[in-house]
Amino acid sequence: MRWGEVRTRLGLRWERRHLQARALWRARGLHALADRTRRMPPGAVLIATIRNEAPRLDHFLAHYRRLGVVHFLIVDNGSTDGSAEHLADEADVSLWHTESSYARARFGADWATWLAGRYCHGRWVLWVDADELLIYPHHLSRCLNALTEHLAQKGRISMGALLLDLYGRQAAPLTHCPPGTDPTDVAPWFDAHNYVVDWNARYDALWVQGGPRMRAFFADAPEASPALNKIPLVHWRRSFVFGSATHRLLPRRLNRVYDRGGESRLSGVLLHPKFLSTLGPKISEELARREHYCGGSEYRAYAAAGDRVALWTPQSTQLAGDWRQLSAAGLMSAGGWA
Amino acid sequence: MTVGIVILAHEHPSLVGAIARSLAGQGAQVIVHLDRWVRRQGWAEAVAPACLISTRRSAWGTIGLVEASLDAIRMLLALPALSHVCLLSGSCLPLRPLSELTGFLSRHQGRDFVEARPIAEGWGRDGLGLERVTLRHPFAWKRHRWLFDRSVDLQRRFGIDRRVPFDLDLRIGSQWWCLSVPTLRSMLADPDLPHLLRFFRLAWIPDECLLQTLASRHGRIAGPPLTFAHLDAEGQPLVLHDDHAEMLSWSDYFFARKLSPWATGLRMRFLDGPGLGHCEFRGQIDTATLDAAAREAKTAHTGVLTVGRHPHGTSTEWVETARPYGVLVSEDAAFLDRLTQDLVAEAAGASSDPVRVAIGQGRAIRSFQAKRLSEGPRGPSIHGRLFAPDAPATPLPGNLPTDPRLRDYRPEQRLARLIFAESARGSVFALRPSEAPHITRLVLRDPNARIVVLDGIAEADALLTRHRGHRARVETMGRSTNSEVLHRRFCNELGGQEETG
Repeated sequence: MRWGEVRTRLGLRWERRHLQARALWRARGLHALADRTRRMPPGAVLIATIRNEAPRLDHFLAHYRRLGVVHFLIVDNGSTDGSAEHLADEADVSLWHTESSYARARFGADWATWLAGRYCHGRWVLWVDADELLIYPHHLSRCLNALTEHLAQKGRISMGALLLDLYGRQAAPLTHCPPGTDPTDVAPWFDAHNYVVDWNARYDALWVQGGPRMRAFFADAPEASPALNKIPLVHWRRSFVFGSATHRLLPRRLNRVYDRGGESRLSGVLLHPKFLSTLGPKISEELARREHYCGGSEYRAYAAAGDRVALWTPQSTQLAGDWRQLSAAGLMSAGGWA
Repeated sequence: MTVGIVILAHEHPSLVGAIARSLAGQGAQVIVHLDRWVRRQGWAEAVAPACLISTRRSAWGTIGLVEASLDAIRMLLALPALSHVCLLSGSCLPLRPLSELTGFLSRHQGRDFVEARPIAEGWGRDGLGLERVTLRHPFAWKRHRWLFDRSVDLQRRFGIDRRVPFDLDLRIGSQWWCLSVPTLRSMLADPDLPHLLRFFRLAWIPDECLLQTLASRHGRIAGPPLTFAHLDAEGQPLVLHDDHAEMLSWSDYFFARKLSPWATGLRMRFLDGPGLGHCEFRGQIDTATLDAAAREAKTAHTGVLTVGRHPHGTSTEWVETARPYGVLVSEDAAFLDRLTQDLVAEAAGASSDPVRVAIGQGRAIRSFQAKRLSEGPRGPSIHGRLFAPDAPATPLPGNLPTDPRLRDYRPEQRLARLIFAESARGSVFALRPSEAPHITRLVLRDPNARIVVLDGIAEADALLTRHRGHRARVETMGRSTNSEVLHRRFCNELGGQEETG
């Protein structure tokens, strides 16, 4: 092993230990509103941080229950729209409340690391946002347990996914999604081929960019466009930490969700219907809060471009409800999972 | 006539119970063997009226599995009127009613259905072959993989091996067999059996070898096993889910493995299902979907980088495209633009090409034109100068950017994506080398590129001298080349569906 490699590994170990300690420290701010973790049945557990997501919650919970998530560990970051009250009544939800800074908890990564380490050691953990709906090959006929069993059979401890931005035929303010309904029905369009992939040597992680956000808001600085690769599903051990969101994790073997030999590995897609009529108020709120990545630079870009930008073009593709469509477009792969 | 069923189980009592109850309810003699290290609580009730025994530690790939099956077989052989014994695992699914199985077996009294290939042929994809038996394997492959591999390495290096006793004709094959009672009796009475059981204690996966060897020694093998068990490219068993119902319902196998514990739909459909209505068995199953899935993983995304695929690793010199594509090269931008416009018109079947009009009087050409007009544009899709400084706003598939600011952010990936997106038709684009030297270099190094240099031989030579070691197919054509000739050439070369007039 070369000296440089040794140094990188020591550096990464130090970084991981530091993030573990940090997660422990930041978890002081979490107060349990409903702790039902003692009754978690065996199976995959979902972790999410929410803030004012009430209209999305019903469909979010229904989607992941259908996939076979057995329990939800949710951090409510100061919602004022009744999201917390709504969640506290669900029998398969454990809820924590905090008023501390989202940015200082590394955009929720510290909270998620602590929750996963505390309650999910040895389980498969799904960390997603409230506006992200995971689908994977055969997701209509095979539950998450079947997926995680297959991953375990192949010796994998994590699965990658592409964050696929969805948009409606009209601009975001005109794309209304009634509470409780499937947002991918009103925003079913996506960019099929507008993606580039880079590779980070230090973390052995991929870095995918592109999609409608890059072409509509980051044409002047494409390198600043948000990362679209995520590792939402991990067979969790106490020693693991979420690094920069779920774009990369530590130890870095968790980031090896891709094949280097030219084959495709099993991967999923996080459907991301972000561009709904609820985005406008959110932009103004987030600009005031500055609690998002890079001081909310992404939201600044939305505000600068105006949320009336129409993302739809005649070259957009409509979701057909079949994962094979996304596999044919090279956005996800069954990786030989027959 | 009765059929005996042995089920080797170690988890999911309710699922194993459902299968055991179904088979026992249809008149089979069922014995469930439970791994001795598993808690027996609740198992006896779950599998009743089937008989539960728990005599051996039967971890994956150990001799315990063979001994457990022998224990169960000895119990079954005490029963009268038994004709055959089938070995199943706790995750096998009966696909057809027992009556069809007994109907089939009653016409094959004394015959055995087992896979027993000579070990030299190899089986599975582990790469060990004869060394499964001749080396000693004291470490569990599943739990102590590192020790297992090191022990194999050491024995290979020092040439430590064991002689196969009795000059056995070693056979290998699927663990899931159906043997006739006379064969089983003579196997159990084989005087070598105790010694073999001792010898195979240190073999790797003896349950795929020992009984198969004995069956070929004593039995009358009439066909393959009655259990469908598919192994994937990595030698791991296919797990059956609800979406495999279609494939299984057309199959005439009696059993299939391995059933996912969550495939409730499959269990509801096949347990106590109607069956095929006949008692034939030919080992038919259509594995097209399985083969397609294996192919998808290997080749479907060739030419693009995705979240699950990044083949170049640390190298930035990435040249990989999905399929052959055409490149028109010239330094004369106006000429390239005119030519690509002509080509587009040609592809649309509405060419204003004078040559075409002149020869267009023959009947063949007229009918060809008419057909093309009716079917819309065919052949490869034609693009202008994709990498011009002021790229025209002609849309590209899948919202690939035409805006130069975005296009020139990792342009080589943009090109590869375009070729992938249009892989059904094929793509042709125009390139002015001085506008995009990086792309020119990439295209010349790509064996999939079919390059036509239109400036003349001297310019082509100059281009190739600047970019040594090119792997693309490069040819030279004069400026006078008309678009119809080019169009036909690309149609032929890129595998378009165009026929030549």
